[in-house]
Amino acid sequence: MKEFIWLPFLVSLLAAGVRLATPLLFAALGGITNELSGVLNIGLEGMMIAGSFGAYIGALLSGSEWGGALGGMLAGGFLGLLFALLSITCRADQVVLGTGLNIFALGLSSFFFRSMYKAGISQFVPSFKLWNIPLLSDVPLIGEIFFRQVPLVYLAYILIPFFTFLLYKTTWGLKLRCCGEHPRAAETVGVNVIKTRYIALILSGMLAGLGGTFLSLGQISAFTEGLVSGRGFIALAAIIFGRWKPLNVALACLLFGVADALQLRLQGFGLPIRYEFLLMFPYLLTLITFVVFVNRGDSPASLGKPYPEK
Amino acid sequence: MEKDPSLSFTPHPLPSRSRWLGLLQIGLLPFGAVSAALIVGAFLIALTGTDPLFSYQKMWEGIAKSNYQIGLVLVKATPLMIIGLGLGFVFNTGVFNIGAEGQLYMGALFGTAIGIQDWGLPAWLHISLSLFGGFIGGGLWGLLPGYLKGRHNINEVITTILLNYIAIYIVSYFTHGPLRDNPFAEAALPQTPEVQASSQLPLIWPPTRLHAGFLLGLGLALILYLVTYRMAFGYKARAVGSSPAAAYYAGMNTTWITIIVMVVSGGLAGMAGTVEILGVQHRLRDMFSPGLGYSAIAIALMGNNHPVGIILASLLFGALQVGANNMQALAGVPVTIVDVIQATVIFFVAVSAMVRLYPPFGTLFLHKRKTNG
Repeated sequence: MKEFIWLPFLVSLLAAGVRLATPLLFAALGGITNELSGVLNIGLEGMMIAGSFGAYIGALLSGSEWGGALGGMLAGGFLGLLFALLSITCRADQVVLGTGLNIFALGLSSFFFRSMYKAGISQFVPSFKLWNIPLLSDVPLIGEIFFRQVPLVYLAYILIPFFTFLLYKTTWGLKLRCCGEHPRAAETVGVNVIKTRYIALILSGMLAGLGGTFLSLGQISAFTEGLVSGRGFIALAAIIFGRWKPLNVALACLLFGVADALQLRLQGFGLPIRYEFLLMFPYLLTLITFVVFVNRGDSPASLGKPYPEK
Repeated sequence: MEKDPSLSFTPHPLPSRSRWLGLLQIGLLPFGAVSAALIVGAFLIALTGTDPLFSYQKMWEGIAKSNYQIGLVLVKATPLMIIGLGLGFVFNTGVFNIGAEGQLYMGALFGTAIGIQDWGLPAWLHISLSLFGGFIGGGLWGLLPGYLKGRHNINEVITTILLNYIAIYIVSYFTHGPLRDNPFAEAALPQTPEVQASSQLPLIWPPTRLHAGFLLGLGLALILYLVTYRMAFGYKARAVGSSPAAAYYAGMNTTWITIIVMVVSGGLAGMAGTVEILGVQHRLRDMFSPGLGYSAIAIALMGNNHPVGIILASLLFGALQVGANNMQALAGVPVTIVDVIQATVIFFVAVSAMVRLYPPFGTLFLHKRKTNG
């Protein structure tokens, strides 16, 4: 038997983990924003689905992967607006609405996709290419893991400190978090709660859409039904695991990404474990971490409540 | 225990002002929801360059052209009805179980595992055992999130949805592995052998495909009506849904009530999965459900969590499904338009539930009210 080489295996595992964590991270950053503003968005999954389809259409129409990213953000942002309209203005129950949104995005994207390709053969579109960052990509181990990725991964690196700053260090972030903790108090000091929540939801939709974009244009350069398959919910669990702090949430996403990469690799190893159990592993890990970490009780105090209260 | 606000979900308020007005509202709601959804559907069909009127005509022909098609509508409605009844029961308690899909799979697995055994049992016993197995399988899959919600107040939405994926992979394992039919054949499909003739549900309206599962669904609706509206347990369950705190201080054991309703709702979803195998498919296949557990959410909401409403809503969605298949075949409109219609119904019901809380105009523009006015 050939000697198993640990180091290259670990490096490629982590590099794949970073890649698989990226779509989760985009969606999770969006989710943090709307949850801190006091809106519970179960529809993150649907927004990712819409994003992956919007990106496909965008890339098809513009002939460029960046046009695709724009399409993905527009599609996600549109669902964010729809969610805001129904949950904030029409005061619908956010959990019911989020579930509806997931079914809506799944049905709508597959309806349009099947209408476009009645013969069942779809067209490939331009996708994101690897960018090796000069110098940094030559650093041993680190370079290979973090700096030989597609551009959207680098965007994700930038967004982590950006959102930490935006949500926790700026006045706007303070106002946003105030809307999630005590909207009436926020309104009293002149914060427009409704407007803040609208912005948070649209931003969240756009970010989740970018996460969807990564799935269709960062990994496979096509759209398929079932591309997202629960990643929106894994992102929701990552938010809770990371206690609404972007860096911690990013680490949680990395954990789930590495778990996913690990199961993909183990499938090729011919271990005496059936591959169905390996496929199940990321969901099981998410479930366990969610159950263990959910009730620490520092979620935004007004999460999920419509405003004004009566 | 501290209650996390994100964990509660508002079930539909009971009609308050007058009984007749309440009934009118309940009647108008599904009508409005479906009309709105069909208009959205027509708009989307037109957007893809197909004539919506022609398409809807094909849909209608698909539903009503023969007794066979009507039988098919009832067949499609059956699992939706049984799952929807369980979901309505659990939604009344304010617990939002979206794990029916996984519970359906686990129930179908248990029910099929019993159904394929050659024990030489009489049909009534074999069918009963299989259905009971289905209830147990789904009930166990509801027990875990129910326990976590009831005892530790852990959000059931996330746990149930993750359990859906896990259940689908478990069934995938069994249909590829231990329960696979003829695993040595060259092109063996990932499916179990056919269930024994003694466990297949009898057809009740030949030559249509309608099977006895439909009658089972109607019977379950009656039982759930009696439990929910005529028994102390149902009253308690609804009280927990209206105000968990009030129910708790009135001395109700909210933990047990939550766990029991989740087990019942999971069990009914599991039974629905078994009915689908014993009555229609006769084999458990990998990925056999086209999202029945998600469609049933729309049905329970549209039926206002009431057994009668759920029966009507499931018949409507069964008809939509059968009609959409015809529409896909003859007008080229993808059948997934039904998902969009279902989602639109959910939106409509979610919004109107809140508007009904604050008659007459809802609070659509409440936030524009000046605080000094």
